[in-house]
Amino acid sequence: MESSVSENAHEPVRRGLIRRYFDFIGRQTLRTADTIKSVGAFALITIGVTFTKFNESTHVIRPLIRGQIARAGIGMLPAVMFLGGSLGLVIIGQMVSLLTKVGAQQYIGLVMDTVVFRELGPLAAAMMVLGRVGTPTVVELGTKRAQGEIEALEALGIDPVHYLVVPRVIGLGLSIFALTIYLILVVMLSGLLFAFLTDVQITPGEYFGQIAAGLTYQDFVFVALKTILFGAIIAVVTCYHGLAQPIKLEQVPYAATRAVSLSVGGCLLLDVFFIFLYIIVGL
Amino acid sequence: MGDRRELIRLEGVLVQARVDGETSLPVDWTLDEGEFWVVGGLNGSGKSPWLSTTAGLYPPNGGRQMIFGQDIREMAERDRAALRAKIGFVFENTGRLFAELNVVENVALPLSYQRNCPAEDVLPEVQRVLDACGLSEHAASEPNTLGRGIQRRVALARALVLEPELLMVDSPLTSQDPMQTRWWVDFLTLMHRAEHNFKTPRTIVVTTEDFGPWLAENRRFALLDGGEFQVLGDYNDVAVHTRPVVRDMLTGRSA
Repeated sequence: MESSVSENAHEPVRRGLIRRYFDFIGRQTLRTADTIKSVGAFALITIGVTFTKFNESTHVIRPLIRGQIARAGIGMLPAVMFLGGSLGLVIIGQMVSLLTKVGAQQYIGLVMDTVVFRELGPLAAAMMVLGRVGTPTVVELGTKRAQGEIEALEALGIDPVHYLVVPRVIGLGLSIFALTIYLILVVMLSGLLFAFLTDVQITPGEYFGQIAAGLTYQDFVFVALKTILFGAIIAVVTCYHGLAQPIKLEQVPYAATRAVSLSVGGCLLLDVFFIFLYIIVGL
Repeated sequence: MGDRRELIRLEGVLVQARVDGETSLPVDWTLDEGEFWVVGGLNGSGKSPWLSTTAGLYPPNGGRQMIFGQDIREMAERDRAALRAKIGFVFENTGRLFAELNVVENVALPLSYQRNCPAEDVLPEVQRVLDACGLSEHAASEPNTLGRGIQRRVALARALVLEPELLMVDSPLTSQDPMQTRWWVDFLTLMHRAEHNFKTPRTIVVTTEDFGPWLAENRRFALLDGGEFQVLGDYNDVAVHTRPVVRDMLTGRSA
């Protein structure tokens, strides 16, 4: 009898907890949907400004683009070299070795193209740039916003999207594209090095021949498109979280965390879209 | 006075200001070319929102706002940006300088952006404005290495380099030592009289918590107090005004 009374007493508490949990899920879902809608609007504004002001204030904007390329591209080269070398030795080298052991050397090129060229290279480069440049972008722009520098730009007749966002979108897009190419080359070379060191019976000519045979011109077009779009997503999402809403200094780190989550999600969604695209064109 | 060009007209404009909680500050006001307005108010009276809204930086909650004869609500964003460049605006405190740029770069940026030319091409003009503002020795300094008063002067130089038609300065005397206070009052007075050796606006609006240093002929005064904007009149009207808050602002007891 007592235990039944006790269970009944706990029932409202349990229901309350479940309800609160669903409330939380609902709120988070609505909040995410709202953020995606706002980021979409911000992206459209950025696209509009990029094209309508393409030839305006080029003496100010182009050095800023070069600065972003230096920071997100050239500045990231050593890290990308290290990552590429590690990936090549650890993953690709192992794969080459395994395929050779089971007598499937003829698939080395296909595996390299699919894993490295189409998926691993672009995504790894994008994630590195997100960590190294994307997060500081939220902090930089969030601090600018919190300290009123955005209003100062507007007061001087300078479009903040043109001055702060467009260089980042173009710079990050080009940087991720270039870094991906470097990363792919380093991965392939280090994979070959691993194969050589472990006495895998494949010559460099065969290795690169198989890789080249597996590539089509669509691969190059898609990799270029995908990497530039990765850069654009990271730049737009991080700039949005820094710029597009009133922010206090103490809120900046949280905005950076949200920007990273949303950027990763956006890049993965785009990656899924490209997988379907590869299937549609029969690659 | 009547033949002067009208620069700004506010008709029933509601300025969004945090005065006694969230509220809208109703304003009817006209600014003519060549006028020097001193708008006073205590801390939290809504001076900064009023000045920012008047300059077209924030949209008003209601009413009609004409800037240089154009209705701000009916303008495209691109036109609004061009309009804002004709108004030199100096923000309060440290002037909101761009932290990643040094003094020369801060002042050169608006000119370089508007004219689409390299920063080197505008250096002579930048140098002239820096000289006039007494900032030559700080040209290569980073903003965060400068004192608050100097930063505010850099913000003034940055606003003047575009040769605006109108200058709006938000609380230039707040937290300034007597020398800086004298410098600002003298500099703006010379500007109003067109006595500087470079092109400067003759129409000036400043906000203040202390009317004392600004008391002079040829100036007009207004007050923001208790959620109201009230035009007080000229020097003679203010000097004999009986409202306690005005008396306090004349004797410096409000600062």
